[in-house]
Amino acid sequence: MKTVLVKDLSYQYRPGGPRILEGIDFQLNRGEIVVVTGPSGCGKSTLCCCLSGTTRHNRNGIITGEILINGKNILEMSGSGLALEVGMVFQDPDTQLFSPTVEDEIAFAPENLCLPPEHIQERVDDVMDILGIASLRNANPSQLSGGEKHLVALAAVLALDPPVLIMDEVMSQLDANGKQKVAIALQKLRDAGKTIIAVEHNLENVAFADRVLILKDGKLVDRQGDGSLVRVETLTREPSPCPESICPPCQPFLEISQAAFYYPRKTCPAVTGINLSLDKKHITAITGPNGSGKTTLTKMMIGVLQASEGVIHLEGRPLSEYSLAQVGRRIGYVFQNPDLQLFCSTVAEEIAFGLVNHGCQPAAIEEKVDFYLDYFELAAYRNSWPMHLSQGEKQRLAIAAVLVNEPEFLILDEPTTGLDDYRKKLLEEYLYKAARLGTGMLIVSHDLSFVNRIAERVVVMEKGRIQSDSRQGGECDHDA
Amino acid sequence: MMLDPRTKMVIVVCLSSLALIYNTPGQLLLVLAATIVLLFIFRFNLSAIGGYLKPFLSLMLFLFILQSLFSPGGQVLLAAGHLSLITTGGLAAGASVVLRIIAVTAAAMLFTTFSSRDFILGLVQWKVPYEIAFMVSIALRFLPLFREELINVVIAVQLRGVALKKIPWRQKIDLYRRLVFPVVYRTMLKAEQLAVTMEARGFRAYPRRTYLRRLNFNQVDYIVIPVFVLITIILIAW
Repeated sequence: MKTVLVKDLSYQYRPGGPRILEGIDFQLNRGEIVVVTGPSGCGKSTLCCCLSGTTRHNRNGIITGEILINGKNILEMSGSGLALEVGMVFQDPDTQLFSPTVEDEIAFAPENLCLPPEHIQERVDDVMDILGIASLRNANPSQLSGGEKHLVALAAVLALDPPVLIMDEVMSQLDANGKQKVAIALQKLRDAGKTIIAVEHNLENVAFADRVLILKDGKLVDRQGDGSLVRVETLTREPSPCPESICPPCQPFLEISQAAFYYPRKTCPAVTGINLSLDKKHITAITGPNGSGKTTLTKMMIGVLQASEGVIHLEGRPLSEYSLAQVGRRIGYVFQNPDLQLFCSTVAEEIAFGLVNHGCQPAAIEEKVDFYLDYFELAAYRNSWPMHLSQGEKQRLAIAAVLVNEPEFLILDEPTTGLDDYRKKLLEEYLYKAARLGTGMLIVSHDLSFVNRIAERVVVMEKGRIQSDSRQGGECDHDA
Repeated sequence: MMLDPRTKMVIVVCLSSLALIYNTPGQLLLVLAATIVLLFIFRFNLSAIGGYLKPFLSLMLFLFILQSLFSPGGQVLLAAGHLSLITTGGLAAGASVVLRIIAVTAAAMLFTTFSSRDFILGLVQWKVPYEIAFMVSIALRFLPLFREELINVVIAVQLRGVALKKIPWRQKIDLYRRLVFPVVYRTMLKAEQLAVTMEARGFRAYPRRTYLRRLNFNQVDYIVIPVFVLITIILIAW
């Protein structure tokens, strides 16, 4: 008997709406890891929701076909009963974490299974050890970094110990260490006979998988088996000579001196002793392990968080002298979670928002909105509700809504999350173009191949401090 | 002082009941003072109360003016011809409304001195069905979530270059009007997604569930609960 059997599966979010999935057929064996990949918006997350039975909550949704998990038709099962068969880690960890501590969050599932307290504790400890998050035991999940939240969300589902595990882009925001731990955990689960379905854009992250299913426009277009995973072209930029030698020293745009930040009720600083100077001529990237303070630092740079110590200057003036709107007009900021910055009723309105409020002419607004809708391939969603887009589409929209204002400097926090290779390339081209036109850039990313291709300078952070600051092609002076 | 979360819940109920029943500024000030002392004992950061009350400041001012003008009684302090505008009774009524809001908000702060999971454990150990305990806990979380959403949107709007403090009132109202629906919808969507993810982790798979931890009453709890309940009954009856 096949563990997962999908026959002629189709799904529409509303009657008369487009078929997000169409005629999907596949089967999975016990102890198999299968990767589902494809361009963003192709139906990967919808497929996960169908397999986990969570599409039942959309009353307007129309599902046809058959999904059998261990011989049981999940379309005929109750939601909570289904949880005993399939565990799913959703794409956005913020909507899954609600407990006051990481330990409580992970204990939630085994508590639901009515396990005795000592067995619950055992499961919690095991899962924490496997994923290396024991140090986060008493932390509040809502205050963790994006990557740490993904690990906790995964741990919370692993504690359920389901025979089938579905993961919707869990790896994308993890650091190399986190990815490795998840890879080891998944391989152990496979050896223990679990079936795993992982949605991923970057196949290098899941090179240990047995098969790949490729989705396009809601249809399965290709299956690759026998370990012959799609080879991902790793483009690395030719190491350029240290820019210091080819261009004169540039005027700093953002200058951070001895900056530190403490979150309320925390004795340890999230970042400390930061000295960094950023100009408008180069693309700088910040990388580093999850929870190393990267997002905190960028939020300090735009004044959303006020530095507890030290000072930040924006073109020679202390940042504290600027209002958030003044900073926003000069620095475009793309949040790690696009949900945080989308607030309009339609996609077109979202892109036009800044232009309308800056008093641009309607014709110019229309022209720019059309350009960005086309460039980021969002034209089909012009009148859609932003919250109804897929995560990758939301990410593209968030980037477009910031770029349209043509800021002098851009800060992008994990901009490639949810983007497929083709869209990454599009973004990369756009950023290059913007950089050539004099827009400075700071990119926070775990996507090292993207960083290697685009950044001229790489700053590595660890435990709230800058560990290294180097130019692609050679070390440069830094104050860290 | 280490008290069981259930004891703190009883204290909140006692203080809130007094704040709602009492009508004079003097009585309400006493309730507020007692609440502040308790918050201090439970190591609550008192300066945070200001932050919680800040969004209600304009409402409190509005209510104070309204009550002062329309509650008659006492000595007339300001009159326009035969029409008394401000009276001592009106001022007392206005002050009472404001003090009541502050006292109830301060009492509710006691809930923040223990975790939401302890709140659930407390209710469940009081034989409240676990579905209801989680529902209440998550509903309590909804208001801070909504506040958080609003803050995020206000930050995001400003980062798109809109100086909210400087734009004219009419434009500001229009902007907020356009933002309210998306924010409410977004919060509802998040609440729905949370319910889905909870179910996907086996919530309500069985009629009962177990818990990693258990709350235990100490000797001090057995003393504090009856003392507070008794004092509250006496004060109300008095």
